Amino acid sequence: MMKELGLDLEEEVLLRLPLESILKFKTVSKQWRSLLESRSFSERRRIIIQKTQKKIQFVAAALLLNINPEVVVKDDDEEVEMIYLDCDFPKVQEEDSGFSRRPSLSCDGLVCMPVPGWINVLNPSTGEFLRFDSGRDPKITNVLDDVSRRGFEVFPGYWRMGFGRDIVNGSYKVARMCFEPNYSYCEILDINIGVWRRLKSKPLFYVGERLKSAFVNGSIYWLEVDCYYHTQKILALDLHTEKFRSVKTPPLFCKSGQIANLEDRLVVAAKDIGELGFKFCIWSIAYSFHLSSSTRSSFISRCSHWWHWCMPLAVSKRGNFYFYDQEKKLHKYCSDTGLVRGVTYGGGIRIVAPFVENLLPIRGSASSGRTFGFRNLDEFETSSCFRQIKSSVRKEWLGITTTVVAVVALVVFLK
Amino acid sequence: MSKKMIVLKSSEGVSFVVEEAVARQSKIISFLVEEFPDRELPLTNMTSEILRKTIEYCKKHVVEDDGGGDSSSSSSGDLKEWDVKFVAEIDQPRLMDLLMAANYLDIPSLLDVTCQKVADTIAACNDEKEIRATFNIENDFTEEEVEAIRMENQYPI
Repeated sequence: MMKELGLDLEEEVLLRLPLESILKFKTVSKQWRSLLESRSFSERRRIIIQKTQKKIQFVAAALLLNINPEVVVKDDDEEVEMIYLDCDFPKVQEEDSGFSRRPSLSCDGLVCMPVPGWINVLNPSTGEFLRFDSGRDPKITNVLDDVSRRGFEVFPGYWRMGFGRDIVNGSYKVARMCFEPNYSYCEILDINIGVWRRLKSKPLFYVGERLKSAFVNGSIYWLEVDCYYHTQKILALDLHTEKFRSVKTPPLFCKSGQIANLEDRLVVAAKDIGELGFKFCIWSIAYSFHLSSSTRSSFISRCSHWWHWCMPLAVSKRGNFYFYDQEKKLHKYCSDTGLVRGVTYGGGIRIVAPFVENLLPIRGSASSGRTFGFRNLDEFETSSCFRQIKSSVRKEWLGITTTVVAVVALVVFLK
Repeated sequence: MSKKMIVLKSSEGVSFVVEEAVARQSKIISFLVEEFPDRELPLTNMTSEILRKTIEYCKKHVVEDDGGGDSSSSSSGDLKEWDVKFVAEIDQPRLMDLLMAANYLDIPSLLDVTCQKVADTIAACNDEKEIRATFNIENDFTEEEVEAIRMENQYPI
């Protein structure tokens, strides 16, 4: 009966399946499988989902044994959905201020999580999981193990890392830079090839280890803020040409800015930028608000630290702006009330990345450490094993009080 | 004000007289009406039954733009409910025919409703065997291949 429909109509029908069925029913026939795994299918599907998806979804790490997602996540607008990676790394969290969160990067719904010795790439939509040897970390002589890094996301080996997609040939790449007093270099790992390769072009200038990078439209961006000289610069690496360039930044000085991808635009979330009616070349202010806090998170006390930062994540259909703080707790700025509210409570849940459904197989032809499915994840010895994923939605909302603490403005790079 | 009527003819030669506004939801008919005004339009690959169903859908979904009133007969919520009922009452083979008719006549909303219904039917199946049986699909995989694909695609959530 399906045959009468022809390929086009068959695809039309299959596009409307839930994710679970898409993964489950590849076994129906060869034709179904090739349809469901094709690039055109996943690209059309992405467009449909963007149109119909009502909730914004986040990947969060949690030890599901210890927490009850219904209790620790509150969102009165019901516009958030969590996809949980059941990880044991929040377990070690209480000990010190290291928070034990693994810094991670994401692009197109894929999560790249470098751990000592390994680069893990996970597709939470399909469960596809790849692991690459990260080789020997360089001996670092110029990075001080000081307290000022506390709360920032520093990658193992002090690599300045980035993760993104070569938009010309479609392959995902991990980039990492090393800075020494006398030399610097950048290496690229093409996920399809699985081997690190050193680039001929060198980073144009020094970038510190404290800030994460952002991937937007084919390039990785690093923000470098020099507190001493009061300068800030943005370094960009085009993942196709593999050339560096420098991006004009706003003239304001923000000591705790974070660079991010918000709805496919490059943004800098900056604290205390002073004058707000500002426009500079291609940059403009998208959101500007006071950080407030809920009684149940200890957000307030931490806001006053100079190194406090927030990482933009997503904007909901209603215009609410979601971000996480240095403890990777989720907050939202409600555009209608002008208040900031905590969404996740307690130490159990760490936001990893925005979640986007991505059905494309990421596997390359030659990657050696490649496995499929979550059953494999237990076997890894790294402390950040993903064990399983659960999704959940929460309902009620608890009362909050608010305190104005600081102003955060979000500067958007229009291009 | 008298409404302009057009005549659609099914594969069995049965004629259906339809308001032009109703029929024009099909982009194909809309085009044909302009090219060949005042002519019967033969739809040789559609049975009377399917054509009747299609017209029933189009009648429900026609937007009354004459008269200037806001008397849209049904709200979008009601319409959605009606759509769900509409496709629920059709059996599997006819649903497929209707889907193809929607595609042939180029009626995007009907195509969407029917495709979604078929997708829901697929999603409700317990395993691939049930799908193959329901939709008469031949299994061209070996046991081992099925097992390998299954291992790669365990649903994580």
